Amino acid sequence: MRSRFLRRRETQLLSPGLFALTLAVLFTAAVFANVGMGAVEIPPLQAVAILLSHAGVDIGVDFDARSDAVLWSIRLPRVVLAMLVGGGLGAAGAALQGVFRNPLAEPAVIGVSSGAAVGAASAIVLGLAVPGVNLVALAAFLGGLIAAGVVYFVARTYGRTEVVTLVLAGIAVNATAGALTGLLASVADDDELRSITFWVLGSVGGATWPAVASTLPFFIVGLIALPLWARSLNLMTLGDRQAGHLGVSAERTRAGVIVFSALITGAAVSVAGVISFVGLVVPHVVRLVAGPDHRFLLPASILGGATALLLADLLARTVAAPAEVPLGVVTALVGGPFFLWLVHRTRANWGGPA
Amino acid sequence: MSAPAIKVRGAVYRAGGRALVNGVDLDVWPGEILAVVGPNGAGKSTLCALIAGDLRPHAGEIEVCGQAVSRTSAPALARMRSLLPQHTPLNFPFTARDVALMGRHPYLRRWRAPSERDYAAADDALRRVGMLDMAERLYPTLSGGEQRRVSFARALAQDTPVALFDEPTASLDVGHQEMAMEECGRLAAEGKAVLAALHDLNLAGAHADRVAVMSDGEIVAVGETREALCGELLSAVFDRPLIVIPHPQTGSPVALPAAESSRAPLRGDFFAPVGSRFRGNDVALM
Repeated sequence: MRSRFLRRRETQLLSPGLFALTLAVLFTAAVFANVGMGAVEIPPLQAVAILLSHAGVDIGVDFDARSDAVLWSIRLPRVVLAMLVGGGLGAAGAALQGVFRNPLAEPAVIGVSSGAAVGAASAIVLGLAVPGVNLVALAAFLGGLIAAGVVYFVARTYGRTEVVTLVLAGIAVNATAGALTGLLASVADDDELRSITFWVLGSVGGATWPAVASTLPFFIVGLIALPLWARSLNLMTLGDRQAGHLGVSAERTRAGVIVFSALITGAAVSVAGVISFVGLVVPHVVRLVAGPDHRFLLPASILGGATALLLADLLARTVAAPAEVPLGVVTALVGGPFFLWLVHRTRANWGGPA
Repeated sequence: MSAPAIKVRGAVYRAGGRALVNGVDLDVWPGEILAVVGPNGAGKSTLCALIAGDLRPHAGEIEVCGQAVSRTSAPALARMRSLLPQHTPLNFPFTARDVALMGRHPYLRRWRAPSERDYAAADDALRRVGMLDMAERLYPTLSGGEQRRVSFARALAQDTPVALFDEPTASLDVGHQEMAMEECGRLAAEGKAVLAALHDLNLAGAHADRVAVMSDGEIVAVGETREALCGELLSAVFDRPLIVIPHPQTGSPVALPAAESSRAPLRGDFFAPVGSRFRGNDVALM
């Protein structure tokens, strides 16, 4: 049974096992590159020594206090945040593509990303402040959930959700949210405008341990919940009716997947702003290499998304050092053309719209 | 064998101000093929959807295997009835074997991968529809007829006591039409109840044990195939003069358009392939 699952088929470029191993190696390399590269160079062995020293283990490799401070307080929270956001967006993208039966879906389709940006922008411009609460992040999170809720309930009529209606509702909500963000930006002063820009363009540069800790529960819940629907998502690709014939309630699966995807994406946008294309491109690449089985696709998209965002962040902070390019700009700039190529090539190979 | 596997009583389903199914009573017994025939829009597909539990009837009762469909959970229903719908669009590159294997889902335990038995059942189903040698082909790259046969295999792999087929022969060539109907016959011989909505009267005539004739949402006749397929009734239902003659070799009823005018039907016969929904006259009259 396991061997069936992991064995390479002629339609797969790599066997799922080999692909998972490749991803794991890439991921590890990306983590060490991210903690090691920058103004202060920290070789991998020292990085391991520093990490283990925080766990109370001494492996006898020397490192200085400055490296320790840079790694532990600046780079590691950033790395962990990039992992969570990337993994979360990858999983949400894969799951949403499954429930929409549309390989072009991504978290932005259900309006979460743009709704969250509106939430963040409103909190910034209105200048509301509650001591001890990161109100901007909270507003971003609520904005994302509200937008996803509006899209879902508009599209849901007579107890069923039409996929096309859902996508159209998403377009309408995205347009409205984009206009609202633009409106808020036009009345903002210079400082506020910089903050809004941060949210619209996306960055994990503001990462701190408290920021990571405040969103960690959402990511953990979402990343555990989504893969539980893997088998149902496989059947849903046959359509709601046939999924029903095989004993899967499409409506319940869709509602659950949308709620948890909104949770993940809202949490991601609340700490890192809008980061596009990770949720769209990563599941595509995984599907292209290893096939569409969601039992593999979802976990692999988590790992792949984390790796992709780590590499993108590495690029964002090293390519124009000491200045930083916004992360969302990097992902869209690399992801956009790559996706074009992918769509072109996949279309030729599968003969389908994907 | 004392109870019908499908029991429909007074089923009504309305949509757009019209009763698509209007007071249907029907029994399908274990071990028989019941063919539902009738013109386009007669309510055949809606009846299938009602029995499958996709749609809730506005009035009436529907039971499958002695259980009221409306009060049975989706997973339990999935082990009682399968349905081959008219279309199975699939945007993702699953292989033919993946799709057939999906038919085993009702029997999979939570968190467990399909067993070798499930793979064997899926492969057996693919072999029956002649798709085993294409099992690793990607579904979206298959031709319409091949996709249809894979969906057929998916329904076979589900291995339920009640099997519903909505147009099982649509988009199949004549050889595979016969294959599909023979598979229906095999299911019936195994003691399953088979309901097939068919456009092709001759396939119904050759393979069904009983035939129900539908028109405007009502069943206007139901009975043994040779009795139900009567030329007069069919002519009225299809609004087209039809004659029913015995097959020269098997004696099963064959329905043909009656010669009604001087220009019928040489051209029509030339254009109408065996099993086409368009009979000669449609073409001749165009």
